[in-house]
Amino acid sequence: MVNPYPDGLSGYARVLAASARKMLKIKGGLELSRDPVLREKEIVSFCRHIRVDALEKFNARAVFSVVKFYSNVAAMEADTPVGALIVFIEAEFVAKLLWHLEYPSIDEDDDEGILDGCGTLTNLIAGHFVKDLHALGCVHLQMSHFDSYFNTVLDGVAFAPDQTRKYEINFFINGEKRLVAELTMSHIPRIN
Amino acid sequence: MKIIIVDDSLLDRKLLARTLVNLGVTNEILQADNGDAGMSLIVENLGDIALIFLDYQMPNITGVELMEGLVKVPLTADLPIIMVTASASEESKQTAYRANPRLAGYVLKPFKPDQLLAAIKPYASISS
Repeated sequence: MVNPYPDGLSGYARVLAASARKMLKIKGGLELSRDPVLREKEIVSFCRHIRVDALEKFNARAVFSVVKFYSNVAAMEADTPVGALIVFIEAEFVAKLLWHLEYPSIDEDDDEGILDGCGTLTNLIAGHFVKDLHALGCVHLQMSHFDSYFNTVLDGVAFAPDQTRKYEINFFINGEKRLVAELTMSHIPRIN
Repeated sequence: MKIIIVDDSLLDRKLLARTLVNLGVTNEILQADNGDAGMSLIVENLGDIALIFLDYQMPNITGVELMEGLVKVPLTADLPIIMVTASASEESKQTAYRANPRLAGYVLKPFKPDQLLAAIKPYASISS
């Protein structure tokens, strides 16, 4: 397949936007009400961890999940990620999104279920993203398990130390911002 | 004979269990949300296990690490295991098969019921 995206963070972010959009449509029958909005931002970090605050994304209680990417199994075992995906969802929307994606129902008041649901969705998006990157000629990235949190994570999220920028991608469903993804990624080696 | 599902995602466990039931599987289905709990379930039910589903990406003990532990012990080395993962990485797949050359299956999430049926047929009790 010819890669229509440039190598580098902006290209990877565009692949992610397209992958997530395709996954929501194919698996959940969900059409976005407008094209995803991509914004490049500076990483705010401390001790090589990205500061993450879901309350900046939504004016309501929000949940987010993190999946880290590694260039190979050895890097995963050493926990030296090449990038990270953080998916933010308004807490009350998680159950609806899962219902669309034909997952078993969860109670909107069930915090554990909401954390787990956001992680499961993030895992799904990450899996499609990795698959699409690979189809475009990148090595197959390894994925971590997901970690989920409400509103913020005090320790931040580990990321590739050479990165200073991240991409924020906003997804709109029925005219409302419903899902936000943040991506940081170093250069991904290409398949020879 | 029992089927054991080890996955840190409650939703993925529920989805897998529901799909198995919908496919007509009559085995009792047990669930664990991490590698330690999974190992305990396996030990408690030794001799009565038809099949184990292991999630690849789990915190602390990954599915591959748990499987490596099972393969090293003669009592558990032959247990049929199907690895379930959201990552289609060929390297991950090879790692899983290196850890257990007799791996009964490698299923990608989100799995399709017919793919799952093909993988479980030799091991599960399925009503017609």
